[in-house]
Amino acid sequence: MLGEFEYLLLTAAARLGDDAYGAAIREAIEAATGRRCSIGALYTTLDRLEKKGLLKTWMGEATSQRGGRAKRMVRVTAKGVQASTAFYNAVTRVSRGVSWEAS
Amino acid sequence: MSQFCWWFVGILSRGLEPDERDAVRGDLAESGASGTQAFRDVIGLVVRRQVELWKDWHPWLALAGLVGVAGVLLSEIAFQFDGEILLQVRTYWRHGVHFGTGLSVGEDAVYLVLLFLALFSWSWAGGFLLGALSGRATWIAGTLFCLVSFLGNTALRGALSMSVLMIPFLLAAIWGMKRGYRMRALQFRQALLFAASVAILTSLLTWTSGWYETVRQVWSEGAWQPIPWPRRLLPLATVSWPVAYLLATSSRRCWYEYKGEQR
Repeated sequence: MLGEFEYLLLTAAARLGDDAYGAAIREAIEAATGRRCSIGALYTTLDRLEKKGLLKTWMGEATSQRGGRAKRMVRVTAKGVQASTAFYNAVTRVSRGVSWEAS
Repeated sequence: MSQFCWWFVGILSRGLEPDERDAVRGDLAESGASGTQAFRDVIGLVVRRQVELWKDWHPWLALAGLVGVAGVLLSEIAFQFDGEILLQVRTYWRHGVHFGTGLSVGEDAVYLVLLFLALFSWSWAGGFLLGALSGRATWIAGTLFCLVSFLGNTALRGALSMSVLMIPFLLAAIWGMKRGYRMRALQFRQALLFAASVAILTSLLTWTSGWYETVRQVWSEGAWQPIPWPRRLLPLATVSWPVAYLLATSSRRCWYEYKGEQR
């Protein structure tokens, strides 16, 4: 089972598709949660998920906007999609019949 | 302040793998992070990476075996060497004569040259093994090794000025660390040659240190009991353990390569 941050990272990467890389994923997570996402948490989680085979990373092209430095590109694997779906289904099931707004 | 933070970010990020360093610095530039934010982010990542590295047993072996055992002994032997060199230099400077140890100038010189060469070799071997075992954790283990080996004893005994004489050994250790970090293991022939040289140096040192024991016994008219050679050899052999480890790892690698070629 994925952790909350792992799920957020996989979902952001899946949403970004071919444009998924470190800074973009970080921005997407921060926009969705309203919380700061540290680079340390992002990159160590990327490594962990890659070791589990849930995503694949490689070094992309360098841009002038980044001071001529390369991006770490991310792609969610089939196994990653499966794990994220399982997490999402579990959260949906456990949330059924619960209204947080009412309490 | 911001410029200082960015400068420090540059230094800190050297603790990351080159690809990761590039990606992280690029992300920071793209997001327009301030110097303080960048510093906080990079230090957070470096600490996390270091914690991961220290979960492995290799850096701990380097810390215990090299800093704890070899480093302490190296410090003691180097301190004795520095003391003897200073004594000779000071006596010659003030009185124009050789300090009377009971041995001839030539015998004293042979002992001190052998000791210098052995200390240089031990420092290099310690540094090499530390770099090979610790990988990216070298800068923590390496700093501790250098502090313990080349500053510890002089600081504890209030003779910090003597640390100047430790510079050649400190440089040898840093050189060894750089080579060890890059190469991980020596070629078998190099390792064998190096181990043989250190074994010869260690044996010669054990033998020549016996000259002083004989002189002391004669001076004291038999009251001084000479330290037997196995007890003189023990610390020298212990400080040489990284050399034995280097030879063992090179032999193992050579054996696997040989077996691989046969298949």
